Amino acid sequence: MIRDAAPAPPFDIPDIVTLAIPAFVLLILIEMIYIRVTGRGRYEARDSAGSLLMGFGNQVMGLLLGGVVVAAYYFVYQFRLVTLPWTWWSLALCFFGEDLAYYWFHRIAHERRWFWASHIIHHSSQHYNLTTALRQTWSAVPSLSFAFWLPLLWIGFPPLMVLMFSSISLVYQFWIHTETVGRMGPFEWVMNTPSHHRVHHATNPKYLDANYAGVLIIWDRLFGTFVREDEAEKPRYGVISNLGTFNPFRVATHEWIAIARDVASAKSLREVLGYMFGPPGWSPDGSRKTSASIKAAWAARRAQPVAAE
Amino acid sequence: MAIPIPFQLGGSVAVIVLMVGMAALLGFRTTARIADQEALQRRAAEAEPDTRVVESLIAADGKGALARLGDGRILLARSMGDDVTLRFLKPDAVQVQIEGDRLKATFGDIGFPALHMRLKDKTPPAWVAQLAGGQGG
Repeated sequence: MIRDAAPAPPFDIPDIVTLAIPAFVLLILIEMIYIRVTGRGRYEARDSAGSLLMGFGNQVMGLLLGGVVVAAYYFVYQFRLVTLPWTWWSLALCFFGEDLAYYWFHRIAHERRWFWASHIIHHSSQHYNLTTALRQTWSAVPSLSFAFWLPLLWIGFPPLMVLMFSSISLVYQFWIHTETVGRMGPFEWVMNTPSHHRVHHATNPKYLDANYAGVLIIWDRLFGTFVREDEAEKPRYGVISNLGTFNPFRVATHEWIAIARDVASAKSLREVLGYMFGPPGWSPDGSRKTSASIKAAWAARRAQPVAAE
Repeated sequence: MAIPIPFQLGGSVAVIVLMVGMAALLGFRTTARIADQEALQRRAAEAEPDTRVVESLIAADGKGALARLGDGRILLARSMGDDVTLRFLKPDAVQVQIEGDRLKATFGDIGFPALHMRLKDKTPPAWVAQLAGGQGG
């Protein structure tokens, strides 16, 4: 049944991300100077340029295609189960709901190649600093990743409320992309932190497919994907096959082109579906590496007794 | 009040220039070099622990390398800023061309464009010449 318009928010919702940009810039400059002085962390000018250009492209794509997401949200909202008001309890529920939706989006974005082709951009730097946070995809809308938030609209959270919490989550996640902040004690029990997110960006087999949280780490703890940072194993950042280019157009499209090539070579519908929606690295004969095969090989190596001299 | 789009985009470009300039000014502009086969072996083993580099050809400037591995695969290595990026490939997946002291290695990966290397020696080792289809002596 089609319903009437969404309830209006009782306050003006600011453009949270735009307002945060001066703080982003300032924090990046502070981090650069801190790393220069202490050596705790890494920067590389070309890598940072690449990350920032990816962020710029994401901004352009947002201006061009952001309306599609808003339209989809309002479309689904017409069919909502209930009309949730702008009250403290609905705001609290929406905060948790948005963060849960983010967790599942993010997890599937790592587990299914279609969404990984878009999300891989964020992981394609071998550095981990605040500019990495701005290394964002150009293909979020075409990949339909916004679909993970549609259930919230169908339940009846106002579109502006969902968009507001998505913006808050995006801003929150900026500061956790740093090597300059160590462990944070009890804060880490509930909140996503730099330590938790370093694990997420690492390619060490021990750390693969872990810590998908946006704001709250509780979802990883709940769904069994939480891995604690091990002081004895420094994260190595990037992706399994790191990029050999800083060209932003190649960075943005390389996995999509790889999918297209694989699909063109597929010999059956099963292969087409496997290449598009299987785990990243899936191949019909199992000859390529997936997270699962990398972790299995790592576990097997660890289980081997040390060879006698 | 919403910021007009041209100002948003212009502001972003200005911020990018500022931050990249600052990174360069602070000295965050180092280039990784592959010094020798031992260094290449270390890099390869980091990515694939059981990998053994049998023979290698390292660019004169140390910014690229080609190697033959113990399991018959070919390793391509490229300096990417202060990191080195690797690809492990079957020999038939790589096309190698040699012209004088220039080597070009290509394969079908949009995320790893052709590797261009200037060689120290105009006569490449036999295994590289074989990869190149007998070119280069």
